[in-house]
Amino acid sequence: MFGFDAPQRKAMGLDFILGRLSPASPYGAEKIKAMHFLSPQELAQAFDNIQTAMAHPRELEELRGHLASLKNIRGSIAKAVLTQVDFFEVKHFLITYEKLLPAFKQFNFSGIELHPMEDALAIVDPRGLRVAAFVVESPELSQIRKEKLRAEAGDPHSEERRALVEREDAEEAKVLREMSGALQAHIPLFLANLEHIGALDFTLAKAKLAAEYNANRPKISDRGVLSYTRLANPYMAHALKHQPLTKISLTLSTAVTVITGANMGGKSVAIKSVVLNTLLCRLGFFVFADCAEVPLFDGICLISEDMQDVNQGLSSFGAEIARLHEIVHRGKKEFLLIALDELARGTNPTEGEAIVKAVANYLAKTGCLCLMATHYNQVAKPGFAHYQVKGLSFTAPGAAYMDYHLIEAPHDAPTPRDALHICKTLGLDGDLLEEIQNEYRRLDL
Amino acid sequence: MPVLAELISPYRCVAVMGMAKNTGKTTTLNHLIRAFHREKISVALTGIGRDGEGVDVVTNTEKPRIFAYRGTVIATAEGLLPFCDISKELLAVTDMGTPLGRVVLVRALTDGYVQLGGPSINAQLLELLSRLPGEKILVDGAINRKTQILAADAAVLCTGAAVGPDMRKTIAETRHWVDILTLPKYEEDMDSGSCVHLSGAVTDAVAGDIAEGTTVVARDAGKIFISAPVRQRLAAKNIKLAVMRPIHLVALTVNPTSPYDGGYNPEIFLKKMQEAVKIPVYDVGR
Repeated sequence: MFGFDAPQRKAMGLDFILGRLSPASPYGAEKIKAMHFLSPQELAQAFDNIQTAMAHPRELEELRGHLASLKNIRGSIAKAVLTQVDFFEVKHFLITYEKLLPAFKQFNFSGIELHPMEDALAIVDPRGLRVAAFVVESPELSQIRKEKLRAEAGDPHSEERRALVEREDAEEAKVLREMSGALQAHIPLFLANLEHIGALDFTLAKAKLAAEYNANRPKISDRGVLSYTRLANPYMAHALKHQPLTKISLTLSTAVTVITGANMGGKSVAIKSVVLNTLLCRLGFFVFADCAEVPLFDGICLISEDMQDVNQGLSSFGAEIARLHEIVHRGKKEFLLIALDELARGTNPTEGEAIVKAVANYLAKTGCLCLMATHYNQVAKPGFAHYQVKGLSFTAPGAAYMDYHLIEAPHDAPTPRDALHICKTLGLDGDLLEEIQNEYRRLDL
Repeated sequence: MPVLAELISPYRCVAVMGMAKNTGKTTTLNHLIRAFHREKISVALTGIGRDGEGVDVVTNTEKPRIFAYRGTVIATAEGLLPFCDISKELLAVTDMGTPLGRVVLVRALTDGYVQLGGPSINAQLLELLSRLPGEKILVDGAINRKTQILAADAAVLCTGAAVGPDMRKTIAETRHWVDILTLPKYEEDMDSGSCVHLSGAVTDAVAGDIAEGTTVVARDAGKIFISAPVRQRLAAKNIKLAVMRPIHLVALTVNPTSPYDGGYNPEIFLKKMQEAVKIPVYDVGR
């Protein structure tokens, strides 16, 4: 899905978000399955509609209540001849739809149009009673049923009754054929309305999600800049449970942006939050940030440790390189957000560093936006943006907490060395810690 | 009102189950439907799942069919509707799926024959029963779906010559099943010494390991699969059986005829069956 494999979707929180997205009808669910990157016009429309829906929460719930009563009638209306059960479903759908229309008209959504279907309803509810029950009716059938009741009053097992049952069956089949024929003329209107019902339901689901997580409308960047202020990832926040999630701010205005920082410093979380929100924006969702500016990427690519290929037998380095090859190929034709979370972590540090630097230099020339988290020194160079995780802060000697905020740093700021501090903070065995400290002194670190 | 209908009148929902095919389940159902119709008591009908049986199996039969009266509400699978010759007012389409399509609710606008096939999932059956109107609900059941029978308030068991050619064996087997279906509800203060609660199936193999004087408690009769000889051996060792959720088996009906052979002598079969079990026994075919 969108170039991410299943473990990546789970790790970045996409599965979590899609799990929270609850369409009220099967038509909204269809639209979610068919989500795709939107054009600038479609995005503007989608965002306008979410805003409209969010402005009227009570009306939104009312409308969702009607949508929830709609069952999937695609199978029924696709038939050449509908059965009594099919017509029951169509009638139920149309009666619900008739109630839904006024609720829909309270809103002024752009690009979503629901057309009245009284003529189709007249076929399945000729007497306009608007009750759910459905009987196949005709003057002939009324006559047959009267005779049937009379025959049953005598001998329910008589030949006469058997003949009447046969006549009734034939007449019902005839009426069902006629009704199906009459309904045919309305099928294009049905199909068009079903599409718009799906779009409406999807919009309302997105609006509900946005309200639940205080998501905001992103600005579509026409200058190729990706920027987030106080960005969050609801999945990470959910995983942290009671601890507050640190919201990060960053701007990718140059081709390459490098994030460095200690282990456990939240570099991966930052990368995944950027990827998730950027993807959601391109799909027409509000984003989980106070402010956001997102350019019209053609695609979003992520290399991270949770890739499927690693589990499928490729070494993590091998899997990374295979994926990198695809990305470089795509990047020649498309405008991509390329997120690399500690590329080449699995190979030896000397070669790894060389590869990472070369990748950064190469990607700087492709016209794509690249965000990379790395351990390696001096990957950032003039012209690259550089962020550092604030890292360990000491409230008192020995009492440290990790500050996950990202701060802008000069390109040549050294990679923070928090590994030893983390060993201390985690209370590593004293003798071993001393050994490590000796080694640090010997290497002049 | 006939005695059987009167006997079940305290219960709103009654399941009728057969020991085997052709043991008179449909005859018993029709007997009850007719009795309630005469008393102007409104009835709703449904059945417990028919999975595995195709439409051909359902229809290619000379067996008696269930006859419903005008006004009866029927819950059945949509695939069985063409085999119901009542004039139908479709009331609702549920989300409950069966191999023969979704379960639908239909009101009979005329009298006629109906085919019943409801959900086979217990929770769905319970929900369906709660949705059905009518002063009485009759459920077309089967002996191999005892757990589902629990959804009803009471049950009637049907036995007959179709169980086997040897009347003595049929009576013994029926007595065994009546015994299992009328096991007492487990109470905290049951007098016996030790108690074993079994969450799974109680089989002959499991029962073999039980110590003398123990009370074995199963979830319901549907979890008990022990044979008549083992049941006797357990009784000899003073091992009692009880269930957490009992079925109220209120009566037994007998069908002395068999589609396979000559059947039994009706009078003797009825008399012997009445002697063998403690619940009332009726021959509703006569």
